[in-house]
Amino acid sequence: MKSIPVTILAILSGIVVLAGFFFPGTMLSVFRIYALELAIILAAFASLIAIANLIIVHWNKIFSEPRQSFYSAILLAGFLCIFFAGIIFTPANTFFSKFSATVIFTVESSLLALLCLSLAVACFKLFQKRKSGLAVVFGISTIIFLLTFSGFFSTAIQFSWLKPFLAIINSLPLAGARGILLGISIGAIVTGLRVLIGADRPYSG
Amino acid sequence: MDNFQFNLAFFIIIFSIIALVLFSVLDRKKFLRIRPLKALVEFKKVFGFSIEQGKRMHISLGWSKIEEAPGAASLIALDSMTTYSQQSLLGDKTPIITSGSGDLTLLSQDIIKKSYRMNNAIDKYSINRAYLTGISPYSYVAGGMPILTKDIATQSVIGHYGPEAGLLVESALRENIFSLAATDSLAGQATMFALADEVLIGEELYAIPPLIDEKSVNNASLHTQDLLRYLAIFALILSALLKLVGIV
Amino acid sequence: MAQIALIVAKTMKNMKICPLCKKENLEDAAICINCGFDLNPSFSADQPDQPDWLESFRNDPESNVRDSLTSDPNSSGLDSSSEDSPDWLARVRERKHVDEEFEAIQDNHNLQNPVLPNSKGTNELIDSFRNNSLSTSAENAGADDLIDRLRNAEDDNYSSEISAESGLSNKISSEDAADLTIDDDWISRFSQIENSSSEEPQKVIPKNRGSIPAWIQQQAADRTPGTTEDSPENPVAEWIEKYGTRDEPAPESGDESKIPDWIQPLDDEDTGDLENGEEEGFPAWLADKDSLPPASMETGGQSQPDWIDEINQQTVDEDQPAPEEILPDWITEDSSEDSSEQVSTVLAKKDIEESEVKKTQSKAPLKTTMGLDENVGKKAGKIESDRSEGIAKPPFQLDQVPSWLENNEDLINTSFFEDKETKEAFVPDSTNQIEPGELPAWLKAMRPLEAIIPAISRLTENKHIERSGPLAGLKGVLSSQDSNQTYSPPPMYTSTLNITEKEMNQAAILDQLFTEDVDIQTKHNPIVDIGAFIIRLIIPILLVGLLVFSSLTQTGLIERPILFPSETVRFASIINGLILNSEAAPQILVVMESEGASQAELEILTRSVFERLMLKDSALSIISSTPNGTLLGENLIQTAAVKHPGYDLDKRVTNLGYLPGGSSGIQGFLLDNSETIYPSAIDEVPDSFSNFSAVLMITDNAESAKLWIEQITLHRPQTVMLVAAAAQSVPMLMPYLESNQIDGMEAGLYGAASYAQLIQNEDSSLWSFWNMQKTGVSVFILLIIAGGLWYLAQFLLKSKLPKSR
Repeated sequence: MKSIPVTILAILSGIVVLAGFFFPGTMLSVFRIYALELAIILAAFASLIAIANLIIVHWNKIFSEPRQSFYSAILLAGFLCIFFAGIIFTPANTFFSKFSATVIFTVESSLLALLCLSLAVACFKLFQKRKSGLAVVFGISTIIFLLTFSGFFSTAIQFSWLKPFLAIINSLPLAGARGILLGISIGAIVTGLRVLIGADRPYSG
Repeated sequence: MDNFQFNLAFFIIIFSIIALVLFSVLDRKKFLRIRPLKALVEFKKVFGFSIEQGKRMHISLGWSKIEEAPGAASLIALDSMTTYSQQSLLGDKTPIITSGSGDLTLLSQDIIKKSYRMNNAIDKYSINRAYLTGISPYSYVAGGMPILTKDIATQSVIGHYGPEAGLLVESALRENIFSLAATDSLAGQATMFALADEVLIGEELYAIPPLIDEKSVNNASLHTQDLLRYLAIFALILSALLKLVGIV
Repeated sequence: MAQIALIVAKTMKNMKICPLCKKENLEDAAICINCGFDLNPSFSADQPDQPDWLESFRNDPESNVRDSLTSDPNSSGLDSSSEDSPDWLARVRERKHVDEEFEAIQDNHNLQNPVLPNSKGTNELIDSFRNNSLSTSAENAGADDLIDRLRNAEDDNYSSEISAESGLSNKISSEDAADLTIDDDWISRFSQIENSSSEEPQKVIPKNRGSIPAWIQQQAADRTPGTTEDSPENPVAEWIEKYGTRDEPAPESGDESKIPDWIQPLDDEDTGDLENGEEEGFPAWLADKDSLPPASMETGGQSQPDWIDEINQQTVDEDQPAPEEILPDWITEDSSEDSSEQVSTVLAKKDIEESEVKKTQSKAPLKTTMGLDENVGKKAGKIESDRSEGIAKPPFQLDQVPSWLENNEDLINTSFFEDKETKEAFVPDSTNQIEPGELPAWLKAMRPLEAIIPAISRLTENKHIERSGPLAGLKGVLSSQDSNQTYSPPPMYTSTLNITEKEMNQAAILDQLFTEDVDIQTKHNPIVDIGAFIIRLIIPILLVGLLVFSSLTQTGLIERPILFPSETVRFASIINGLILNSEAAPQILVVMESEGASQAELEILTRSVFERLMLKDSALSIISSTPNGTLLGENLIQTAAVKHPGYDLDKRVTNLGYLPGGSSGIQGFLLDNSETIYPSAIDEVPDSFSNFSAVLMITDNAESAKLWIEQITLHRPQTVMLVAAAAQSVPMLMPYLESNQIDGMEAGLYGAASYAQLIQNEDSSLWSFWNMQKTGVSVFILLIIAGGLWYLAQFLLKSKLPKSR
């Protein structure tokens, strides 16, 4: 019984938003805008709640697993530092923005560099993990992409004859990428429609 | 948005709804067969072993917001999470569920609580095992990496990821954790293909629900996708032929 | 009817007047036929042999007092004998003697049809099973040998037991018959009730109700024809009685050929006298005692098998010692306890001791205790005298067992009695040889006796022998005491593990096995991990080393691209057009779709672009659908502005902030012209999206870029769309580029290098990165090829090894 009104609300909201998209300039489109704004606000609050949850989880972890909570302590320290700095200096402050941006971008760039190294190892072990024809295709496609998109043959005029040939080869993975994108889009449409008709209810209601 | 696009979008939606409903009604006896995916079969085996070993599973839901375009992958992730978490109740330890957005976190907590309650295992629910690890892709991955300890045997990386998910999978490899990866991102798929133990390519992501949870609506969804795909192929070939002959 | 007529004819000579109801009764009637009053408070000397098997029933205070009052003053007290013999033994003796006396009485009075079969109490059940076979006859002499032998054996055993008590019999005077006749009176009273119940049930009037125990009165009242089967006091007897009452007409219509053999040993007279008239009025178990013909038990041994004779002989030999020696003390001790607990139980001789009398005084008026002792002594003496004649009749016999149970060896062997105390039950009656009846199938299915006597109580040694009460001598009788006796508090379990040393050693061995297994695994894993670790270590070191080496290469030696991608050329052309062709400063919307991980790459990509735009003092508005996007955009612009100190960042750069909502938010941004999005206070920001000169999207995320491209193409198709994309997102954006949804794109370092070449930018850092990228790409290609070859060689090697072997 509990799920019925929630499901009805979800279906009605979806239909109204979709109808507002197809019928711009009508009341449906106005309602759609308000519904989207409400959804965005709810999502923002959801993010706040989730962040609070994250803090609670790591706070609990510090006391429940003291030996394994090193990262949790760092996370809490970093969070508290940025949080109080933002309150004190406000987000528009240059020092605050540079301070937080330096930390964020440095860490994320480092992670991307680590990913690069991991992928280097993975490239070496690719055929160990995948012993199929798909791995061969993947390896060849990767090599072609590396050669074409990195400008490997762009430094010498003598490689100009390769340009049409590489363009033809390059069109194959691009065509495959389009096909994958098309399939993913179709899947996304049907998945969204499942929610719209109430067949899929990613909520407990 | 011109009229053609408008009409095409409207046709696709109406056609999809009708096909979905019809397949759902007609497929109650499961006459529509689905080809099993090797990745899911292998993961199911390993997952069973992990339950026997009394180890946990890490379910990663991705970082896409549910209201955004990649939210479809997040819905698939939530669906698979429901099934895997219920199966995990057979074991001693419940899975750890991580997500990269606030709405996914709340939805996952909501669903997992409902799932445990339905299975009379609400006492196994803990807020410490379904939480947000970061609100950006790399912070999400960085927050999820410390979870991958020897206590975990399997990991499902289903949802919307970029290449950063490679770090998560690579960390699992170091801990001998079996990883199943499925994402709608091509960059993520390429990274997962090189790193993950089992990976689903392309739209195979949307085949996960009917393969792990044989509901008629899941089968209908997959067959509706196939139907739309056939239509797209037909439209592409037809448009190419028309362009070839100079009509378009 | 014929029986009653016969009784009336015989008793009309001397009639008794009931003192209570003034009705005439037969001279030898025990109780008034009308009111059930006890007509024989005392008995004449010519009736000394009346049965006293119900002595135990009357052994309650009332009956004791009554006995003492009605007994012959010459009778000796029973306490003398009870001092030496246990109560149960005295009771058995009494019963045996009473049965004989009762037999004689029945013979004298002819209360029953002589041809009537014996019903013998619970033999009602047997009778019912036999249908009409209860019509006893002498033709049934060929009774069941086994049962007869068992009876004889029991009889012998019992005789051997009681023979030890023969010394006591000297103390018992013949005056005990006074008490014993009371029992006989009982039986006769019930007999009369039964006999008269068929025709004149209302005429049964007791002579002296006051001398009858209350429970007997109640029972007598209940035993009226209308209430015969409704006795709630003894449900066991009730169901047995059902069979018995049903078999009542059997004597007349009985087919002798159907009578089981094991019933035949019983004397017809005995059985007939006892059964017909009394069974209906008694509870089945009570009537059962009546039906045991004492004299027939020994005569029935003629058909006993040899092995029973041997057993009998053994038991006789063993039981030859005096009963004082045989009987354990605990029996005599327990008898007193039982008597106090069970009011309606049969009291043995020992129970009539003073202590017991005192206990029971509160339940019935006690006029004198001296007479009681004397009466009891008389009874005991009488019993002993009878037993000395070698005739013993147990209260319950094996023939009480239904014929359908005879095949059950367990039941036969265990019976209701066992060993010394119960061997009397197996005293066979030669006259009770009745043919085994053919049990109907439906009756076999019922097997009520099994329901009453659980198999576990028969098959196991847990057989409590009742020492007092109406069930005295029975084994396996359900008692309320059992639960108390057998109750024990719930077991206490301790958490401590109690194991032996051997178990400890075994556990240690088991633990060692698992420990070794784990050790092997842990020793084995590092071997594998070392190889992987080496690979993980070598490859990154190789890659980083080569990249560092390439970065050290002089800029002049680096090969620059001479072949430029078309999208980059278009990108450069559009940028140049924005700078050169427009008179006013261009208003550029910078869409940052990056989280910052690709900041270094994006900085290389956009630095020259922003520098070019700053030359024209372009207005830059930053917006992003990611939280960190605007921050990253500001950083990129500030970095580019280093070479253009005249560019006023505060005025020309506007941060529109984070745009939530994904595609919906983007769509709203594209279509909405409200001040919330385009603040009018800022001159550098146009009042609508269409006023932007171009959109410069800086992204490393193809999915986010897709959203913008699709929405802009849909809603603002005339917008100039420029993209500076990191290399990882370029493949995904190529379809949009080829479909002209993207006007120009700077794709990765190749695009940046091409753009730098196009605009003649001599940034040394760019060429350094360009050289490093070429090196990195080469390394990756080599790694893929080397890895493929490595595992191909491994595969070939493994495939060849089995063939060579």
